[in-house]
Amino acid sequence: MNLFRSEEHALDWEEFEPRLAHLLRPVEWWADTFATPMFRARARADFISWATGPEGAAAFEELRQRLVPSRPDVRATVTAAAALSKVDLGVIDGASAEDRSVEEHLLGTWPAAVPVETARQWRNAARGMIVAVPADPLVEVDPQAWIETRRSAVRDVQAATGWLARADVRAGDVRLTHRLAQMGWQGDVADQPAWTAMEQSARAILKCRSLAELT
Amino acid sequence: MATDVMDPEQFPLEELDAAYAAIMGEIVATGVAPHYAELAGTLGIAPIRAKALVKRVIDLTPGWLHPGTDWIASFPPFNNQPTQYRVSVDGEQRWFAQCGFEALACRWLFPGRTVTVDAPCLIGGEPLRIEMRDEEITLIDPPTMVGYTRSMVGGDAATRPFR
Repeated sequence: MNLFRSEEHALDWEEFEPRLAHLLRPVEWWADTFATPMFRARARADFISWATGPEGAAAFEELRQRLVPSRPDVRATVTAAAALSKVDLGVIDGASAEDRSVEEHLLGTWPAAVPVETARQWRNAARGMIVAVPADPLVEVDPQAWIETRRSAVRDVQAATGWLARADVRAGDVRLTHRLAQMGWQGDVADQPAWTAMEQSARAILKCRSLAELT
Repeated sequence: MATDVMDPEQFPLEELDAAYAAIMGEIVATGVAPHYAELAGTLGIAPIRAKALVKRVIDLTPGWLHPGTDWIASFPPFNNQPTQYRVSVDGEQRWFAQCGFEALACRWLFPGRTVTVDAPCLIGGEPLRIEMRDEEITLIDPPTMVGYTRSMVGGDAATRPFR
């Protein structure tokens, strides 16, 4: 159970096992996991009673479920993702193929830097976040410039928030971030077909009320 | 003094609670787990009973004794044996975490205080730092930091999902 400087570092670890790839998570996800009741309760004066009683069993089960490999919900949609969240997400909901307003927001924004204070606010306040960057340019842009823009977007999100972000530009597709556990997903959604479908349909940024304010 | 029952399965929960709290309290205060003979004095019981209590508490939690000894090696989230996960509280480094993940749980034992975890990355040895205060993660450096375990988290899935 180790920490690494980045996903790439972890993947380079000689003991990395792909079958347990679902346990490669942003450190924030692990911080959330180790903030579940099982870990907070250790300060109790009656910890053993608590841990061996029904509350402890429930906490154990919560932890166990959190660590189970995910099965992405193929029915998931942007709306469902927002509904699953227990926080007041600011959803930029311009998700239809016709409505490109969100992307236009993005196009003018990335690779803008995200202020440190804003990033810290996200990290501490947000319980879930999805970032989707369109796979295709919206307007006439040089394809190479678009690739670079998407790379920059990934870098910015990752650097500013610590959330994992990924863009597989070679596949001409978008693979992006997770910190979705508390939105109902637990897993490397970036590698799931459902995620691609959702992302393609959404073409939107969720959560990003802060980002919307920035734009 | 508690009952004379020495069957570990028969220890009253109240006594196990007291032993657990005493061990944890000592680690929180000093960074070091007590020996059972020291624990005996804290609890006002015979050392032989404290020894059995320690073993029972360890059995019930994801810690362990150093093999072949009666010394507490690990008492999560802390480790009595130094690890690469150094834990500081309000700037004072006195504690070690059992692992990188448990390091993130140390903050719950130090409410209202700033807990810092410093460790080298296993790849390249470059530094990692996390700062926390209660619910808030105030620093993750570098921000791209991830956690990974190749062990099935929990070892024996039926009982210890977080080992």
